[in-house]
Amino acid sequence: MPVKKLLNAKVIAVAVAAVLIAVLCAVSLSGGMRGSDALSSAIRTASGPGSRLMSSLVGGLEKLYGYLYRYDELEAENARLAARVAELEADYRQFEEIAAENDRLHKLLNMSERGSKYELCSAAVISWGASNWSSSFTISKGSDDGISVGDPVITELSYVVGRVTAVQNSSATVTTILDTSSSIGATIYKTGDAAVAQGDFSLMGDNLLRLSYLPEDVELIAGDAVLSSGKGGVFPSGLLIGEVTDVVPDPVGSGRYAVISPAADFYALTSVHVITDYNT
Amino acid sequence: MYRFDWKKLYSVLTYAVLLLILYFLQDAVCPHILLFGARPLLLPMAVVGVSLRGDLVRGGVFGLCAGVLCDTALNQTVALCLILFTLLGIFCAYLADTTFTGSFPSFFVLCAAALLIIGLCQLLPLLFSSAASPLPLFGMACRQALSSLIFSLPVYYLCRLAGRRPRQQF
Repeated sequence: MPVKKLLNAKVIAVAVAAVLIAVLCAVSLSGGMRGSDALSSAIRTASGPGSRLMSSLVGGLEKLYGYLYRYDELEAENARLAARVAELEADYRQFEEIAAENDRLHKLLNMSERGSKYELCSAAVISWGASNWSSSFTISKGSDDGISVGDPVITELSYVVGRVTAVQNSSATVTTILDTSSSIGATIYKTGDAAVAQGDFSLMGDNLLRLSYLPEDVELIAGDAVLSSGKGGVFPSGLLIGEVTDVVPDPVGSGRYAVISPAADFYALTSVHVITDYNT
Repeated sequence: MYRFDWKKLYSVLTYAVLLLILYFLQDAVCPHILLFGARPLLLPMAVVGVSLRGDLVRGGVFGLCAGVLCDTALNQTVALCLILFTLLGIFCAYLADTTFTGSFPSFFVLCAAALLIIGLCQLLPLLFSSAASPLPLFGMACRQALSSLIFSLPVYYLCRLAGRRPRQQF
């Protein structure tokens, strides 16, 4: 009888082995502080060099494709960026003057130094998660470099990227702010109102996130900057999350929410900075 | 006297190489490919391909190994794909013994069904844990299956190539 084949001792042993491995992985996940199970950590560590090699090959091919087919687009972007650099240099000179003046005034008033100071660890993006249901990527530094689960991750321009959710010895997994599990205390820069920036599955595919729990009287327009508020203790305050693109009524409940376009360009990320320690 | 089974070792090594190639493609290449707004899943199709050409134990063991690697490539805890792929491997090998042949149309139909079931299992945690509406989730499950099926032919031929040796117990 064909059904008898399914009840073969070896087949049952394979199925039981699968369940046992899953249970052991769940136990190792809940028992550790690394945010990942022992088996996937071991595989990530073992396949690290291979993944790096494959990623650099894919990166090289993408660069070649860009060079061959997007030359005009890149040239225009280069010109735009050159103009932006000139603008930023002028802003920076002005900032230096203001900062010097600020220091002088601080000394005059005998005030203690204010502002966030971060301890950063830069890492390269090795590979993006292949899942269609979450938004995460792997970076080239891990617990050996002082990175731990929960550390915030930002770009070189201090735009919020996400946070470390799993760590191995020489690599770590970063879950981006687009992921449905992500939630950050936010402040609307223009008004100072508090809100929560959350990942939303229906917006994730378009690289957008939602700003929930908006105060009823707040007036938002497209382009309003949204910063991290520092509430929740994961992200330092004052980091740019993104800017408002739209305000729509919430289909669940009577309120409304804003759609935010993140400041970080996730498609172009090649390296990130992990904040391993900060004080506010 | 014990005689070492070189054929068995060859068979295991061939499937291990197939698994590694597909894992690296899944881990490093697939995240860069967006078709119909979704990234393809190659490893479940390999489980179907190998199971159609092997017995239940081989299907189950290959499914188990592919499941562990797929969970790792998807940056998730080793559990969902591990159990799903093991059952998929056993079930496809059972169907190959009773109903289906090892031809491409059989492979394609089973892959489509398997990918839809995997998609539905993947969306369940999101459906219950976040406030996501079901329609985009079901849409993503279908798009994921479609984008994966585009690669069914190369995966089928890779599995056929790996399973060229005569059928034997794992």
